[in-house]
Amino acid sequence: MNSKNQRMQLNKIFYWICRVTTWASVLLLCTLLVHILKQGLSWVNWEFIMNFPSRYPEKAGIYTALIGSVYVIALTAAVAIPFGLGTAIYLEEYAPKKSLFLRFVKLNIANLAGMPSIIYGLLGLTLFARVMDLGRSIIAGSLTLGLLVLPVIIMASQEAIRAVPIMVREAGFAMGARRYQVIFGHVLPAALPGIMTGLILALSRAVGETAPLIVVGALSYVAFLPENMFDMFTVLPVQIYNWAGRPQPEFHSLAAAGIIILLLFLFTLNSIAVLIRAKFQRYKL
Amino acid sequence: MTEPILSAKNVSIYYGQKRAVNNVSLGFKDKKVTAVIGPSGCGKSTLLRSLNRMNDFIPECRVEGQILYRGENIYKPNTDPADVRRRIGMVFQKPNPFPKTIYKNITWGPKVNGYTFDGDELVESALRKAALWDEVKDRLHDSAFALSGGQQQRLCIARTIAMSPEVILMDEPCSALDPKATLRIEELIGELRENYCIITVTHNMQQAGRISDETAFFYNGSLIEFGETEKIFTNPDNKQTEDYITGRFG
Repeated sequence: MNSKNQRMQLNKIFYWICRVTTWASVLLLCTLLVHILKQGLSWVNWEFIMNFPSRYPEKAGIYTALIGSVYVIALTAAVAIPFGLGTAIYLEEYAPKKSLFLRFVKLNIANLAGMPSIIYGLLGLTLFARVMDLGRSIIAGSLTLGLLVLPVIIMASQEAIRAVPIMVREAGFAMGARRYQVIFGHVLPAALPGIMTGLILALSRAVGETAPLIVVGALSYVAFLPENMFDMFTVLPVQIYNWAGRPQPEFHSLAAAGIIILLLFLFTLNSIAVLIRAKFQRYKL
Repeated sequence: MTEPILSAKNVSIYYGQKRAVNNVSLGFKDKKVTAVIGPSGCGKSTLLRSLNRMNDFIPECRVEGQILYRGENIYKPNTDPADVRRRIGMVFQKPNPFPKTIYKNITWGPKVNGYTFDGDELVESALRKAALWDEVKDRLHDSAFALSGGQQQRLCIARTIAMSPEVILMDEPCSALDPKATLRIEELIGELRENYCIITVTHNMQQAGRISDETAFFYNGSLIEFGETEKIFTNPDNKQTEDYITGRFG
């Protein structure tokens, strides 16, 4: 064994490594944030939020993209959450633990979670836009994003459900409850904070995805608001991508302003999720 | 001699290939406390959990033989295990109240089983029977986790009573509690004996001696001796029983 002195030294070194890595990441993020704020903040005002896109940077706004993002995320959540939760509950609570086939399924879910998003875009283009003939619509985009985040939702929910102690379930079963009653009465409430964390991560990722939506056909110039889920649409990151790619420096500032709006959007989304989570954490295990 | 309300007939229990309980037959009488004692790993908890089919959730567990409740084999095909658990309640080693209010801890069981009941009435009577009413009557709508360990365990007993079972299984109900809380549970078991058949697994020899009418001694998955507690503790027939009870091994 090392001497006492050496162990103290090692502890100190390790502490500093952890500390430095933490602050390095924070510093990097702050630099990015400051840069964007400096470039874009002066462009952010009520007109920018409420205006339609335009080829004149002074008149250009982000309204259609913002509304498009709201629609797309709402629909993505509506599609992905029931499927993701249902799958996770089945795999953890009902499925036979020893089935080789289901083990294979689980392995593949993990693989899918790591797949590049553009591949989901190509799948969405083929399956939803072409085969199902949904075209460049909100629903096609949402289904694509739904597929993209489904593995993340499944895995996070599975983890959360698995972390619920067996004795919580036993307590329910010993009262003569059915499995669905135990799941809804005890397992899901206990797992909810963990599930919410997974949903936040998954949906935040969906909000920021650009590539698959470009492939599916989210346009960057949409001069009207979508009226139903079969309409054309654009979303914040696609709009930002488009502005950032233009040669005029004014548009780069617009892109930065768009990023600020996107960050605010994400922040709002996460805050709502945190509030819901806090509500359900009242009775901690 | 009264007929046992619940009995095991040639019961063997396996975990995969491993046999945990070996051809055990014994009967548990109504309105009596039966203590199941024996060293760790002797199969006493396994047997207890098989009495209301809580073993169903362990995938490799297999039960052979018959467990008869009022003459009916609870492992008969088409038997509804939830039905069995409604009549044969269980209290666990570690207090495990639901993450809900005290009130809802009591009403949850009857509710999910579709019983019709007066909630306030049921909560009060269950808590009174579990000797918890006076301590919690002013905070029925607080979280059950705000209670102490011993109170939580009495709450678990109360919620089991609320289902009006005939048999209550207790899997080392005091092992996670301090001596004072243990004493209260023991007193409670003494009171409950008048109305229920109680089967309790315990590591605590003195406790078995204090609270039980009959005692079953298990060793290595086999039932070594079963009889009146007084006899088992003062004049056991079997040498192994004597050695265990006097603390020579185990």
